[in-house]
Amino acid sequence: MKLLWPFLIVVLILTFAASILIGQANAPIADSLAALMTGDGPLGRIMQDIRLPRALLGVMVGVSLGLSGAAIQGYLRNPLAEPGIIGISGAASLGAVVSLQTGFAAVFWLALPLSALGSAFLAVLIILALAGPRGGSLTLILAGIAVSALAGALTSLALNLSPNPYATYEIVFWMMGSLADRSMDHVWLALPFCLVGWVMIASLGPALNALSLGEDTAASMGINLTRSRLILIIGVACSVGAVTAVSGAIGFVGLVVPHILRPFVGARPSVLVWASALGGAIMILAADILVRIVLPDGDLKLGVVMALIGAPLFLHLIYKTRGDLQ
Amino acid sequence: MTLFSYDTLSVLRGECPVVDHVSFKIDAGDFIGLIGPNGAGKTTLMRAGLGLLAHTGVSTLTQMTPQKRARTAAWMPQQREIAWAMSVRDVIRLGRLGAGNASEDTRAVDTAMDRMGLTSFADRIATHLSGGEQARVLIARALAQDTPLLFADEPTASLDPESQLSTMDVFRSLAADGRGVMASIHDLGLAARYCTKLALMHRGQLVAFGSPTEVLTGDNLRHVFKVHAFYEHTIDGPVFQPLSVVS
Repeated sequence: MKLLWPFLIVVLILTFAASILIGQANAPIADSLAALMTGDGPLGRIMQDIRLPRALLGVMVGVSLGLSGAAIQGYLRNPLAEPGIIGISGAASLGAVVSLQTGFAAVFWLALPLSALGSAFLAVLIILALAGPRGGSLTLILAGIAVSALAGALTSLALNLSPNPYATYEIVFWMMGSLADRSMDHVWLALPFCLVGWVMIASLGPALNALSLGEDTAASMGINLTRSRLILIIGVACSVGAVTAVSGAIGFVGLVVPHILRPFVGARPSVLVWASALGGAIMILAADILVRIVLPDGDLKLGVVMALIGAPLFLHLIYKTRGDLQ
Repeated sequence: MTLFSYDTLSVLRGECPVVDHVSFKIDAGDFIGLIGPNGAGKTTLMRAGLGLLAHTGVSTLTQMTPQKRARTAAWMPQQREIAWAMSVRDVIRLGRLGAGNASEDTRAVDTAMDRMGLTSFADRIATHLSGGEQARVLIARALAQDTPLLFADEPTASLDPESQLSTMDVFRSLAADGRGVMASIHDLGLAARYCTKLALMHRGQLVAFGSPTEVLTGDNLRHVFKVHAFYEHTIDGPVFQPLSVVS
């Protein structure tokens, strides 16, 4: 328990370093680090323009998904909840797909992530309108399911109406989720939204703890449920919306990471939120390294690998903890 | 000293009043048993008093800020929810949310565990305990909040006889310390033995308020509960036992 934090921090640093050092250009570690600092020569370009943004985005995606997953599970008091359940990632995906399908994505490089972000915020407005200011957690889940279903249907429609096979191919590959070929511009675009989202979600610690005893008890302990829910939805929308906009939809991290770490933090939601942030970053970085090692020449998608790791892991966790779940 | 009062408090569900112009007050030293048949409005009355439901009229608690209210009254709802596999100590410590300093918190948690006989359970996982044990953990959680007022919704339901009696003992001693306790109770025998006052609800209205002898009259029992009962002050204290249904 006490060793958990040093362990997570050390593993995160190691995976981050490995993510920067492993890739197609097989250079010695010392040369790579020197090139990262100076940015000189082709290796410098690779380190600063390709590897560094990829590793940084990996951390941002992992922290956002882990943090949001733990917070949503805590808020809904449901271990099966994940960031996608309130419809944000589906909506962000839809925005990206529509921009690809209409060719808007090709107009300027920010067009795709901006469409994704815009559509994520539209989803927030719809969810808030559907779930109302005072509704309970069940209304929020139902509103999220409705928004997800609608976003899924519209995504299928966009694919259905895609003008040529190449556009379909591009859309399908984007939806699989990846960190490849991203630049520092993507990092700078997503970072402010991520930071705002992280701060908002982190402020919910006491509310999530109190909610372990149900909404009535939490309210009687001075927690403003309406405000907490608003902060949660906007925080998740900012961070998950932003990372989905730059990386595509990546599943299972927000579901599995809180599950794995819960026993190590005594199941306290306020602590789990932070542990899941670090754990999520580790998981994404590790999977993204795996993507590069398994198929160095191919274009294996991170989202696919994540699902391949995440689903069996989740099955194993269900098998192990089925006695505790009611 | 009056700790809390209702003044013509009403709660409407649609057009229909679920709680209808209820007024009474809780003084320091009161252990009030809120009694009445199912659907009489007991839970609604307590939740509205805590500001958890929209209402008309006045409850002195709802005039406070949520934070002040949390330092004034603790609430143990009927739904015994412990969402995560936390240790008993961690669950009870939730009652100290936003409260004093660390040593004060530890002392309040230890006192609450001791009062509910949970000290040996401190490191057990709360969700692995039996329903009755979980109820005692949640009562301890409310005690740890260390408030002058305690509201509990059927705190003794699903407890074994020993735990029922010891829980009532705890509530009575809290009241004796100068706090105010209000608990809805279906077991009129327990209510008659332990409560200093009873508040009898019927169809949303407060039909009787006073000492157990004043409230548990044959008339009230026939009219509200539709039962005949044995109620005597014996050498072992008051004994109440429902006997038959009014035909």
